[in-house]
Amino acid sequence: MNSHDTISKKSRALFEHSVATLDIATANRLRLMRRDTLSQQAPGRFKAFLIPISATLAIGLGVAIFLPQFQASKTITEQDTVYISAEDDADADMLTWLADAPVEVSSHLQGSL
Amino acid sequence: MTAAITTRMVFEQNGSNEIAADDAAIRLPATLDEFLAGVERRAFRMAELALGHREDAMDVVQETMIKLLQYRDKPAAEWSPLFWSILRRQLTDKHRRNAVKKRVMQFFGKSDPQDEDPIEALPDQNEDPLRRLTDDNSWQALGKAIRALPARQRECFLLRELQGLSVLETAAVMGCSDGSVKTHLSRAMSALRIHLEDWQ
Repeated sequence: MNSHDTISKKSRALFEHSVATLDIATANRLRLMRRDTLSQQAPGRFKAFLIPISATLAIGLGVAIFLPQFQASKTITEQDTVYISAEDDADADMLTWLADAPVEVSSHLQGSL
Repeated sequence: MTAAITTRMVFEQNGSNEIAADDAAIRLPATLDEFLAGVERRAFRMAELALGHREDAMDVVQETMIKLLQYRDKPAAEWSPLFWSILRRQLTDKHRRNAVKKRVMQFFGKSDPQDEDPIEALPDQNEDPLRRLTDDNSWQALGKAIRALPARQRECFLLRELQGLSVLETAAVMGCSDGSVKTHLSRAMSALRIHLEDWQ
């Protein structure tokens, strides 16, 4: 048996023995540690979602507070009212007439229509 | 209970014979609790060997468990490589922090209080004192020799030889090729042969 095997076997045996004969106090501490760890929430995922959720909530809250005020300031006042003048009435009549007006189709377009 | 799937915890020796480590054989655990219960002692001992300090080893194992929680939804087959990979990174970080701490302490002319572990001095009454003394001496010698190794060789020896991961698993955990694992392991064994001359 070469020295590689000797060191390998002996170190492995020593390691297995040390694991098997771990003192009770340390084993108990490890058990409690495991229990505490498993009772926790997974930290990484919670932290990963915390920032986007907080940002979304803050933006939503801001919109909810300031949007009604913005809309209220945009209510139509007397000054904003646009009165339709007589000239506008005439334009409207003309446009109505144009919509119903007969259209003469020229001879060179007849084939394409 | 799911069918027990025994994975290859077989140590290849010179490519000829193999020693099945029955006690180290891994079944796929049903829960994360079961998985951690199966590896926590081994992880602690490994960290203790790598760091040479029980409280640091305890911290590293706890950090590893907490970080593994992020992957609790992954399939059980992936927990083992993830766990050892996280442990390896935690050990590397701890080594770096300890090195910086030691340099700062030396700069201010203070000795590192972590050099002596009072828990090591406590007697364990469960064992034959002579056997305990012999094992303790061997354990200390092994720890000292392992800590003297370069980081990659140390990781390779701990994962491949002591934890019993296969070459491919070790390569995956260490993030290198299987050829590199073999090279690191060969160099580690050569160095240990010098450090642990008494064992031969």
